[in-house]
Amino acid sequence: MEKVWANKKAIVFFLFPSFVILTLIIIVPILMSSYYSLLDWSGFGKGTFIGLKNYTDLFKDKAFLMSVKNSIVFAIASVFIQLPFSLLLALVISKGVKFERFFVTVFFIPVIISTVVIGQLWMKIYHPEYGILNLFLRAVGLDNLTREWLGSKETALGASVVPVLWQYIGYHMLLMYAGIKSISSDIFEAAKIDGASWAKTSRYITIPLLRPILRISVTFAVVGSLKVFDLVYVLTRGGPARASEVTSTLMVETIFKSNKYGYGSAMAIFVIIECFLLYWIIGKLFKTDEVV
Amino acid sequence: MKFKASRLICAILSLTLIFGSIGCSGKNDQNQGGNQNNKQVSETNDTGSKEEVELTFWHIWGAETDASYAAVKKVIADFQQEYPHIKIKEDTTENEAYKTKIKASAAANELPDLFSSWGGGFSKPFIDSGRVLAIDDYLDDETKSKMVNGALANVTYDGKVYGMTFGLSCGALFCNKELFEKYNVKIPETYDELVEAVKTFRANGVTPMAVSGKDIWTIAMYFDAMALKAAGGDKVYKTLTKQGSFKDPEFLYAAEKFAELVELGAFPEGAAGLSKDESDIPFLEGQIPMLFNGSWTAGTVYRDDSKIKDKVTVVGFPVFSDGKGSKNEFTGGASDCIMVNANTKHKDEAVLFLKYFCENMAREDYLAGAYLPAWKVEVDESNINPVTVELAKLTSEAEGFTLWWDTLLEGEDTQTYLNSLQELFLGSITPEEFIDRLQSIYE
Repeated sequence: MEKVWANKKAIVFFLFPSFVILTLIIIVPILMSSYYSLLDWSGFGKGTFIGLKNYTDLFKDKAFLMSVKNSIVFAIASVFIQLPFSLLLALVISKGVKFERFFVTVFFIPVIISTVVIGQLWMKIYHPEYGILNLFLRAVGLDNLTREWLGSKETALGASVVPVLWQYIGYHMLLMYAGIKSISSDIFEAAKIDGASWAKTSRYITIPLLRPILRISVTFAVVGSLKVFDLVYVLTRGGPARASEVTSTLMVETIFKSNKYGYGSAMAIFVIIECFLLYWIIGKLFKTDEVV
Repeated sequence: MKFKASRLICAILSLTLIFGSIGCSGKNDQNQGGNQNNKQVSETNDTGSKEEVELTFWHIWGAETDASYAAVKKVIADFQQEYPHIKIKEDTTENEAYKTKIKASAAANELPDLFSSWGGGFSKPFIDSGRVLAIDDYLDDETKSKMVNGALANVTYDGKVYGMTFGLSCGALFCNKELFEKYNVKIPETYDELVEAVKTFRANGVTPMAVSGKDIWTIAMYFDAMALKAAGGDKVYKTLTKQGSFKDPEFLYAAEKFAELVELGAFPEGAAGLSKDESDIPFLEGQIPMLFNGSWTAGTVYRDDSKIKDKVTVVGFPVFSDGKGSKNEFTGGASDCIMVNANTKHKDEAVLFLKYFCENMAREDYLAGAYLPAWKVEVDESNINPVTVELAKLTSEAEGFTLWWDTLLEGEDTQTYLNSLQELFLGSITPEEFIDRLQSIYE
């Protein structure tokens, strides 16, 4: 191993192809987008350079602020609702329940299904007339709780958050499950001998040892929420009246429907910065935890 | 070490995710790909002899489920037979994706020799940036006389013609005769009769009209027609092309009447969350009596799973007793068109194909029931979908067509219109606020 590290030529040789690809398909487009974001450009002909005006406009744009707020709702919901749920499932399943593999597979199924299919599925669930949700509410006599789930401004955001959470619960569960399984069984045995209950073992042994995995999960959940697009687009198109608009759907509308390429690029750059910032904060949070 | 490794993996994975978030980054690569293709094509053109010409043609009729699919195939095959030295190289993309693709290609100046597009505001940026060939020099009176009135209206910019149309579509009210007879309702010709019909259907527990609030253009179908009947075609056209004002009382009148229909429960509950496909189902099942949408709905009515075949009749949108728009004014018109790239190396051949394609497409598409013809065609109508024939009769008396607002307006203004209309539909803004938002297009 050390020989390889010492051979600088080998390092360059192996890293160069991926470096070129990475630069061409990721770094160059980001730099180009950053440049476009400084232009007043329709996507056709020549743009005029307007400096940071697109960015200052962003913060005056109600629709944009609303979309950022909605993305943050997605992030908060996934960290505080989805991840605890995944953790609980992972803890219970790894405890050694019957049909362990079966349950892991079942919970992972939504991750494999195409998002568009999931969107169609939930559209049927939410359908105001024959949707299973409203039918169920009517059947148990809770008629006053029935809603036009995706069609009203009050419930559209919540109704689009639920499928997103549901879809990725299995994903985070699998990460955590694998993490728990990789913890040495000696530790659990020692705890058992000392008479620790399952709850105590989880609280004082499993979860602390799982911290690196939890950090990955939190990062995925937050970054994934900030750039969520597909399910929202399928379920509501960001509507009605922008009630469930997220930054990505607004960005696509701005660039390709309103022909405001420069302004849309500014949104893209904003999302990149937002993601980096949160990634850094999450790293910090987990680090201070370690010291304590 | 183990900990460091996991941190490294974590960093790499999350970076990948973050980078993946830049939606538009992928586009540049596509452009690069397209660039190479185009270069290859032009190289082959250079090396070929004068007679052998290859034209690239991008269009949207590539899916076998598309009503125009067979027509396009036939017309291009016929053309190849007649002009074997001109080779047509097709490239097709699905409608919505095509709109994105054509905009990106126009921006990068990488358009093919010929491409399908839409008249009005959609193509205006292409024209303004000089990407499209003006074909006035190639248009003689004989060609023009073969077209119906207004066939070139939406592809004319600043007095110059930039494309050719082949079919026209118009908005029409599709009524289920069976339901109208069952509840003893008259098929509405005036707005008052429409209100009467809505009330009667509602009283009998029937939702009167189908619409999708999620695909906002279906709401716009209704409002475009109401504004046309209230203000008349000229005024609507002038106002949308920024030579008037939305503050004129006719527009407020239309908005108020639209809000009234919503208030009366003319549209299904929860419509704002339904897509166009979902909202069409109750109409095709024979549960909803009325649907105002484009003439292509004639094809939908005769779909295999439709339960309302032979039960449907069409009328124009009901007129207001004090409105300025007449019975024979329609929304829509000839908007789908073919344009020629201004930088094509083979202008003559491209225009030759353009004329041939549009003229024959008009006939084939009418036979297929996809469009009403924008050229004067003579065909045997006995095999055509009866609703389409009825529509053709209706529009043959047309005084004029006013293009749909979302096509006539340019990108950003279209979004302003559609988003405000959705809010009016939801009742979250008043008709006055709606008019104020529309007027903001002028700022």
